[in-house]
This record gives sequence, structure tokens and C-alpha cells, in this order.
Amino acid sequence: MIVEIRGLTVRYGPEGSGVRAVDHVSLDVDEGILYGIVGESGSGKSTIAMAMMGLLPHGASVEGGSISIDGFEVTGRKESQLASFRGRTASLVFQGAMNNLNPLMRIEDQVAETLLLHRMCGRKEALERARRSLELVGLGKQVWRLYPHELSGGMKQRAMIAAAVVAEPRVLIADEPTTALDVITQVQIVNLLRQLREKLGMTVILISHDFPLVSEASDRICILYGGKVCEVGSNSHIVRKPLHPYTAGLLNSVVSLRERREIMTIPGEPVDLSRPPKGCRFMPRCGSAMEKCSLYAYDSYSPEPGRLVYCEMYSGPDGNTEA
Amino acid sequence: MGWAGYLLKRVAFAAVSIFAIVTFDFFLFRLMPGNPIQILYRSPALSPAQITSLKSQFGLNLPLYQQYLLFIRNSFTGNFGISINYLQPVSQVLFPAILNSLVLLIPANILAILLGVFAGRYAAWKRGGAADGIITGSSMALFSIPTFWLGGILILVAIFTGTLPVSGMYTLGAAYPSPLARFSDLLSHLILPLITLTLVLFGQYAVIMRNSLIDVLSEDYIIFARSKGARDAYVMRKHAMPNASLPMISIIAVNLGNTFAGAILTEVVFSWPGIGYLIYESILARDYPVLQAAFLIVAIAIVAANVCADLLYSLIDPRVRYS
Repeated sequence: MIVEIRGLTVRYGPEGSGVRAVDHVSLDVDEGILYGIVGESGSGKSTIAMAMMGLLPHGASVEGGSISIDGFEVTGRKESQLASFRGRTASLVFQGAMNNLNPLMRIEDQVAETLLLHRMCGRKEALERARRSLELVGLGKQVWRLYPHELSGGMKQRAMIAAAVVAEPRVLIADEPTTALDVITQVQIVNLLRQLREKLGMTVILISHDFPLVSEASDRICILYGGKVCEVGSNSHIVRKPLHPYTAGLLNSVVSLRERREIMTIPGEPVDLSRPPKGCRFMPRCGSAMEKCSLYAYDSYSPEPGRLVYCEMYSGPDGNTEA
Repeated sequence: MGWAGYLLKRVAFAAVSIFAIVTFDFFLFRLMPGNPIQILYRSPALSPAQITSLKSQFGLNLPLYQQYLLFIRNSFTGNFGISINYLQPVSQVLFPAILNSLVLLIPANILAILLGVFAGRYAAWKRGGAADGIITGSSMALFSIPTFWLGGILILVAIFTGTLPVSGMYTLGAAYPSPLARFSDLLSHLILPLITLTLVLFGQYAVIMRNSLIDVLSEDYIIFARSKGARDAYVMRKHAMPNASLPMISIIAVNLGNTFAGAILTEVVFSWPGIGYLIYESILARDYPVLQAAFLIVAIAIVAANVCADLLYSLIDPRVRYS
């Protein structure tokens, strides 16, 4: 297990009041896989990514739980310890067609910076390794000495990936890496992440609202809703046979160009995290809601091997509680 | 177009600006009530022979367009005529005043920029904290306080404590045993106007530096730099400050030009014989030749400061260089 998250709870705002954007989330990621996290805005997926990097914004704090990445406990660390962890043990790539690179620095220098920050080598070697890394992500030498404003959105995203992987981290966290890019570029970026995982032996955590894109690339998928995990399973399991009603709803609402079928949406509004409903958070929108759902305490059930689902429908005698 | 082209364009633009200013300067004084000849006649100290020679020197009997061409030629050769008030060639009145102004303006601007950058940077670093509140609050106050009021208060304090001279550049009628004694007399006269001007400029610089830094610190590339393993001090030095300095450069350039004329208040309050004080005296005496020349010099200083800012800008920001 290269990433172990246990009962992670992140609060925005002051203690007592405030909003729990991530509420007792537990995840396990096996080494070397591409792990997809799917959730709509407000599901807490970016907060999990930032918490994993120890980069939560001002006003957000880890209220409880633990995050272990390659044996390094991220929560409760001093800034200096986090700095030597970031970029070397775990790296981050995020959305940002506009401003994810410093407009005043050359591309190759921004990639080499990661190595220099960790004093992994001298300037000359850092530049060489940066250029190799840029080539690895498909950016040839005509791009190396350019500035960010001279690059397209897709090229900038590749450059960002090059800077994130140049120090060969164990884990690459990609938070919405394809958002704001055109569809062809989206697929290219996702394919690049898969290739890098194989070439560099990294574990990749791909976080997106785009369910089809995540399922295109991932080995395992975790579905988030309202700061809680809905279900976790292998890619094929989740897509072919979703267990959680929310997952099923998400799959039905995917638009397909090939097959003509009616698009179904999930009725109701996303959960208001400042006033979450009692019990299951999805219950107000759920077609299969039962009375006991309002008493649901988010026990996890495992109706099939290798799968976890957080839903009262599976609390019958077959479902073994794992809690 | 490359850098050379960019520079050429800026310099050409500045040349056009200066030409427009000369033109405006010429017509401004022709449009005023009365005309230069009348003003000259009214000055009792001039003999008719002098008036005739002046009229032919400035071609005041020629058609307007010929006068204009003459004015341009005289402007470029530094021949601004004779001061009505001082009965000396304008250049002999103007250039000592410019030197006196520079004695005050250069240290005041350097101090204000250094203190403003330092304080603004510190406030942005500790944003939301007590230090930020104190720095931002006092900067806003200094920014808003009228110069004459601040100068007046300082004069009151100096008179009550009897410590510092409050007027002029040197003690009147003083005989100095050595150049060093003369210099220390100058320094003691410089202190109060220097403090006044520095404080007035400082507030604006501190506020703009702080706000610009806070804007930059929320940019994606700052988060990305941190995710690569950069510590806070490094992020500040290498990523935030260069980007936040861009608006500072523009403001400093505008201010440098403006303080040249805008030190009028400080110079008048402390009777500092600089160009601002000269403008003030010349307005009272309707000394049009001096005013005309002073306006031109001030305008050229503003244009020159802006050209310098453009050059500096292009050194830092590649987006300006190539577009």
C-alpha cells in the first residue's frame, strides 16, 4: 500500500462551525496502479489532493485522520519536512490552462527547479535531466527555452507534468489535469500519465469530475459524493456493475455520441455541506432510499471481493461489515 | 519582432511624446490671457533695446508657425529666454534648481522604495496578522495625509525641540570653515524635507507592494512551486517578488516623474530651492519663460522615467519583450 488514507477529515473555516469538505474518508492505493477518484464539484476531491501534498489553503485544516504516502505521514508535519517530501516523494499536477507556470521563467528552468530545490544534482545536470523529462512528455528542444506564454494549454500541461515527474517521485497526484483542454489533448494527457506510470514505475492518482476519462485510464476507481466515499472497486466492476445508486446515476448521465439513448440526470441538488442531511448524504436524491438510510453511520460493506460500498442497501446478511 | 524592435518602438514613442509636449507647452502660453510681448513690456526692468533684441531673438513678431519652429529649435538648444522675475537667462535659474531638487528627490525616492518594498513584502508575508494591520494601516494613513500638513507638524516639532533647521538648504549668511561643515549644514537642512517626502511616497509603495504580492501569492504557479518542494522564503524570493514587482515598476516610474514636479508642496513648506519651489515662485511672479521651461523639463523627466520603466519591464517580463 503506497498511499493509505484513514478517516481523513478536512474542515474549512473555524472550529465548531465551518464546513467539512472531506469527512472521514479512507482510501488505499496499491503501488504502481493508476487510481481514479471521481466526484462532482464540492465532493472534496481537490481537498483530498491538497491534503495529500500538505498544501491545504489558508483556512482549511485537517481535523482528524491520517495520510501516509510511501511511509511518510503527511498530517501534522512542519513546513520544512513537507517541503522535502513534496516533489520528491509525491508530486502534484493540477488544472490550469492559464497560470500554472511562472510567466517569467523559461520552461526548462521551471522543470530543473524541482531537482535543484531538492539539491539532487548540480545546475548543469539538472538542466540535462529537465530536458530529458521534457522529451519524455513529448516536448522537443524547440520548446525548452521558451516562456509559458509561448505555449498552448496542452503544452503547458505537459511541461507541468515534466516538472512534477523529473525527480521521479513515487506518487503523482493529478487533480483535474485535463480540464480546460480540448478532448483530443485530454486523451493525450491521460495516455501520457499511463505511459509515465509504466516508464517511471510511479503510482498515479487521477482526480477528475470526468467519469469516462477516469474510467478510460484507471485500474481502480473511487467515487466521492459530498465529502464521503460512495464506493471503491476495480474499473471494470464499477463501470459494468455499479453498486451505489449514485455511481449508477453518474453512469446514466454520461453523454455518448455513439449510442443514442436518453440522458438521465440525478434529480435534486448536490449536498449543502454546511447543513448535511442526517445519515446517508445521497439519500435526498436517491431513488432507492429506505427509512434506515437516515440512520446510516457510513459503515462500509463488501458484497464482492475487492469492492467496498458505503450504502445501506448492502447491509443485509450477505454484506460483511468492515468499518 | 525582437527586443531591439521593442526598444526602438518605445524610444520612438517617447520622442513623439516629447514633441507633443513641446507643442503643447508652446500653445499653452500663447493661449493664456495676454501675450508674451505684453508681459515683457510690463516688466519695468527691461529697456526698450532689450525688448527689441528679445523680440527678434524669439521672433515674437513673426507669424505663429514660424514662432513655433523657433521655439522648438530654442528648446532643443536649451535657450529658454530670460526670466522676468530673476532677470537672468532661464537656464541659469533652472539648472541650479534642478540640482537642488535632485539632492532631495533621489534619496527620498530611494528610501521610500526600499522601505515600501520591505514593509509591503513583510505585510504580505504576515497577511491577516497584527504586523500586516499595523503596516497597512499606517501606510494608508501616510498615503492620505496631505504633504503640507505632515511637513507642518514636523516643522512644529523641530521648532519646539529646537533641533533642526526648518527652511532652506543652508543656514543664511553662514561662513563655513571647511567643505565638510558646509555638507553637514546641508544634511541638517535636508532631514525634515527628506522625512516628509519619504513618508508621503512610502505609504503608497508599501500598500501597492503588499497588494500586488498578495495577488501573486494566490496564483497557481505559486502553489505549483510549493508542490515541487519550494520553501516559503524561496517562493517569495524567486517566484512572488519578480512577478509582484511588475506593477511596482510602473508605479515607481509614474511617481519618479511626478515627484519631480510633485515635490512642490514639500519644497514650498520647507523653502527648499528646488524646481518645485521655483515653479511656485514663478507662478506668483507670472514668470512665463521660467514656467514654460520648467514644464518642459518636468514633462521630459516623466517621459524619461517611463522609458526607463519600459526597459526594466522588458528585462523582467518576456511577454512584453516579444509581443
